[in-house]
Amino acid sequence: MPLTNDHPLLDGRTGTSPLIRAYRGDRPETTPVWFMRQAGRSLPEYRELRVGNEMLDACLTPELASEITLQPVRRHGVDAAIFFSDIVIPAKLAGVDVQIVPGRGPVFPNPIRTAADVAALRPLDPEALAPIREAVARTVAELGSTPLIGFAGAPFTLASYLIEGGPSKDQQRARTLMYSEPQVWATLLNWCADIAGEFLKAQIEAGASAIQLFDSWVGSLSEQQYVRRVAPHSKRVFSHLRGYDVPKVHFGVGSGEVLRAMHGIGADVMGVDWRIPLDLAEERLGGGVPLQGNIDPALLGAPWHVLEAHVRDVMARGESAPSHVVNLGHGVPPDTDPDVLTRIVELVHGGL
Amino acid sequence: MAGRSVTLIEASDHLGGTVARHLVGGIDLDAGAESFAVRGGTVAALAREIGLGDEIVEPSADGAWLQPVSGPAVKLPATALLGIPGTPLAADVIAVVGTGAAVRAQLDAIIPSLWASKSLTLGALVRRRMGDGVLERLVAPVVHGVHSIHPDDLPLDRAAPGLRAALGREGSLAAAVRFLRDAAPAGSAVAGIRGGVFRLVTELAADLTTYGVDVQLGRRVRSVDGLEGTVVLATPLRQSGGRKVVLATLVVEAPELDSAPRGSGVLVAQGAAGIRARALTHSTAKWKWLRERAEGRHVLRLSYDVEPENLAEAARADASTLLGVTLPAPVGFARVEWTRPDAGTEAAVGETVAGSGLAGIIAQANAKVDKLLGL
Repeated sequence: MPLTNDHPLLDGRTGTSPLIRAYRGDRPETTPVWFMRQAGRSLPEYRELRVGNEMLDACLTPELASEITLQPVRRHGVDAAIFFSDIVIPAKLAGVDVQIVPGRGPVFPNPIRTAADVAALRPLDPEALAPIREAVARTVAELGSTPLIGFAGAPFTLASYLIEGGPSKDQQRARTLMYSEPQVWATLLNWCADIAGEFLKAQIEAGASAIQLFDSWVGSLSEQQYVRRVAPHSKRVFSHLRGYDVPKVHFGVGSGEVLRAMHGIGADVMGVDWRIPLDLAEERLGGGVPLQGNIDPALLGAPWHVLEAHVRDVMARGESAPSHVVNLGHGVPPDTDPDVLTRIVELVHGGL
Repeated sequence: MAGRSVTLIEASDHLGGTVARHLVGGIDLDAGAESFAVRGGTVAALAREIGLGDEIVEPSADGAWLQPVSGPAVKLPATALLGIPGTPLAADVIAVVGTGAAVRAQLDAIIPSLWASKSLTLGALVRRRMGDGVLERLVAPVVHGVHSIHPDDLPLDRAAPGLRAALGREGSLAAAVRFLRDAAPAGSAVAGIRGGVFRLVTELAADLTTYGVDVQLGRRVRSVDGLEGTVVLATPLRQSGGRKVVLATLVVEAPELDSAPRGSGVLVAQGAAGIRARALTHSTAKWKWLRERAEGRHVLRLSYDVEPENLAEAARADASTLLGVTLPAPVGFARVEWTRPDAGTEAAVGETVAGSGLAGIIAQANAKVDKLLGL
């Protein structure tokens, strides 16, 4: 199904925005910039809004999710909004019990580890995505010419949460299941791919101009494991988006070994973490792929002259790619001074 | 899958056919095929493709033994191909077939190379070049152990590709055997998978799920009418005939077996007195990974063409005789029955057209699929 004519990407609002042009391989006059996890925990106005609201409830309350998504755009003047949500939201909407435990993250009281557990998973009813559609629609109505990027977690990372029962150090239990019960694994990752696909589709239809698929934990996999037991499922997420001509960004932490394979699932743009410089990423990808990244979040707390030199280096190395969207190499750390982010935007836009 | 959408229809409730798993005495074991021929590298290539490349294992170098018609079991000759001796007068050959039969087999060296070279079956070739003694006492038990079939019923070019050509070149059957043995890569002619050959099926079944194949178990197809798309039959629509093979698996606590008294197992010559099994595999002697997993216990597998009454007890008795060790009652026992289908032409892939053995079946199926996809 194609996008409707009143979609921001088609009605003149975002189609020629710097972000979309860069995602399509063009080099706009100013280099676009946004920050992963720009919405949320690092902003005082977010913390104020969240008082009395659970994180996942905030994600599913359209007014709140929309406002939180808009806050960093207003404050920093970034070139894109990233939809405020959580990787576990589609699972929750499909009926999986999940809670956010402060200091730990999402926790699943009933981990998914057996064939019976997987068989009991229900598909995601598109009706359940109504609050997501509404939040996105509210957001794009406010954003004007600034594009909204839709968000979803990739099957491996989401499945790892489900199998481990929450965040884990190296996803060992998940990777064991990949070997001990490959069919249970495949069925679970297909389910994750299908709910992620529905989740992204809802965001695109409601007005997102691009999407980013996050595979946060992909760094714990060997290339062989990734290619054989993960990549086909990530590709399946994109198969749900056939017919929607929106740029697709793919990002993973520690993705150096699998960068090329990750691009191979059908991504238009590759997000790169801080571990490899962009010119090396360009080389590993074989050239010609728009890149996004990759300021080391650890340097956000460094003296400005150090951070500035790093940002300029990132931009210089980004010249090797056909186009470049500046971002962090991972999410904004919670204790980041928001003014530093604002200053980076000014620097990237050529105002410093 | 080259962009095709695929539906797989299977009459039974599981995938893999005779490549299957069962649990005996708490140990996961192959219920059917437990090794594969390394020739052509076909199975290894598939294993690598599906992530099991590092799991391919060689059996113990100990080799197998033969239980002749009379007398004690003897070690199989070192230089042989499907039991056909490379040196008919070698001591280890004479020990099996006797001096008379060995001398007859030696005539192969002076018979013109064209003699019998047009034989259709392995049995006919060996009989005419080396005599009935070598065929019945040595080749038949080995062939039966590998293919569950008598050499007189085994097409020569399927059983031993290249043997006919080598005979023409080398001048005698024994020389052809030596040539093929020398040309073969070092190591065993068969290999297994750590954890069991059934892991091939586990991985492939997961792939079917990964790539969205519609797998329909428990559905029997009686006619291809009404099936859409290109239909690839892996078995004839109507199963006719076939040979029954019954496998008895024993898990025993018998420290006397630690020394592997009969190497990897024993092949039984037809007519061997008092023994009803056709072959015995000492699985824990043959496979190191299984020895570790069995934690001191031993796994024995016996095959029967005709199932005796009280299979568990008969298998224990046969195993005791063949191994020369009085075995206690097993701590685990399983009976599995397989039907080896007759050859046919109706199916496009599978055992009825490619013969028994994973190497041949996979190679034939690969070639067929390439052709179907126009590759």
